[in-house]
Amino acid sequence: MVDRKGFAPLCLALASCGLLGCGSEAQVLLLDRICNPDVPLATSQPNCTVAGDADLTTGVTGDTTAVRFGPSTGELYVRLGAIQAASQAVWSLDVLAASSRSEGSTLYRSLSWGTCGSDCPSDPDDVEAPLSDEFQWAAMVTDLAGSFSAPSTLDAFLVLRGADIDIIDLRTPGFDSYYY
Amino acid sequence: MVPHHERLPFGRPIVPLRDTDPTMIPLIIAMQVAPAQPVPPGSPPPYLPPPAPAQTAPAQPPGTPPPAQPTPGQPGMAPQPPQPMPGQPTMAPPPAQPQPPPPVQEQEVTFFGRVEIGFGTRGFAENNTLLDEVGYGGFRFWATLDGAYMFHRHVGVGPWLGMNRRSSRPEHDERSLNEVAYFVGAQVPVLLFGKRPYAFHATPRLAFTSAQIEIDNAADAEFQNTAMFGGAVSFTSFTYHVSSSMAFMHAPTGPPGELGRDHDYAGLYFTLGGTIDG
Repeated sequence: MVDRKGFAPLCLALASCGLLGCGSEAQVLLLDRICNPDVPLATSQPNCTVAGDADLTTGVTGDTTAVRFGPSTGELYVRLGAIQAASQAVWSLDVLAASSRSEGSTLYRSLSWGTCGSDCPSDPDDVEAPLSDEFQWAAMVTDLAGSFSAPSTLDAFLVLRGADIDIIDLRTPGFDSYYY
Repeated sequence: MVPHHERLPFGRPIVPLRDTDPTMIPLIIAMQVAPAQPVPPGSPPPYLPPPAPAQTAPAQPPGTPPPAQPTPGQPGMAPQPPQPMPGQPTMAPPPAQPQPPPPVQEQEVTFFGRVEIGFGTRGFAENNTLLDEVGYGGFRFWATLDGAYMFHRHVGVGPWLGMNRRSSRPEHDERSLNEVAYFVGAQVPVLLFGKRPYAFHATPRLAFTSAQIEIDNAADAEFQNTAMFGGAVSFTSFTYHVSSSMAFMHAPTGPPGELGRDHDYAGLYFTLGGTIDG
């Protein structure tokens, strides 16, 4: 119950939420941060590249970046140096994706540390996640060893692969910081 | 025949001296020759009772006492205000009894205008749920302006326009989600019950909407056009110029982005506001 003294602050809080915005605990739109082609790059190479039957498009809004895999297999390459959580000792990554087929699709993940050398962990095994036609968070990296502050090389990539799949976001659970 | 009494100008009766106690004669003469109170200009002439038609006073035998002076309240006689005697303290007239005010007739509301602001939920479409999933919440702020001409006591028609806005900025992110919708349309308020002091309306509404949802990033999102429809229930006191409404509106659109889902630029909201009427 809100007493009389608490009514005015509640109204002010609601007004602030409506006009200025309310805070949220979640990390938001990491895929748009990393892969938006309009964002200036920190390196000479793009953070995201697509191959095969895949293209960069828009997601939940008309100005955010998303990835679509077509009926043939497409691939998304994300440079590990652009994912700041990957430089931690342990890290995880989820993908918000859905199948564009009613019977569902399978999303595959590969990860390569490239020429990082002995400072980086060995390449993990590939994983796969079944997807339905409803958007859901799929865990593609779970508590893997990270580079632990060793600089990731330009040829260290996380690769997502599949067919008839829409990807609208990434998140790194347990990592609260900016991603550049 | 001599009438038993006549009147001087200004209504003072003449008392025949032959019928009077001899000791009172000087006093009566003094009363009759005393200057009368002047009549203010514009005052109506004093009331003189009309003479009885074809009636004459019967002859009085000598020694018969004169008829009694007319008294106020006597049937057929005009009430005479008491004349204060010289030197006698005048009595203040009794205070008038307070009359209860006549009942105020509340006029019917022929037209009204209203401005309201309030807060509500985000939309209920699937894309709104996706935005929740990626971390954007927040309330929607509403500001509306509406009015109606009540062509029937219970039914009216009028414009409805306004805007709503949502802004959400996650705690660890400097980029806000900004969503805004502008709408202009019409409404048909239906008076369910009540009158001008307290009235309850149900109001269907339909409006054209132009809306945009975007993130604070380097790109811009385009506006989407759609229809907004729904209704509101309102409690309004036109007497005190206040109003409160609860509304559920729906402004469905296609996906704002290529891979998004259907979006809704309206929702459930509550507002408070002020009214004018005539």
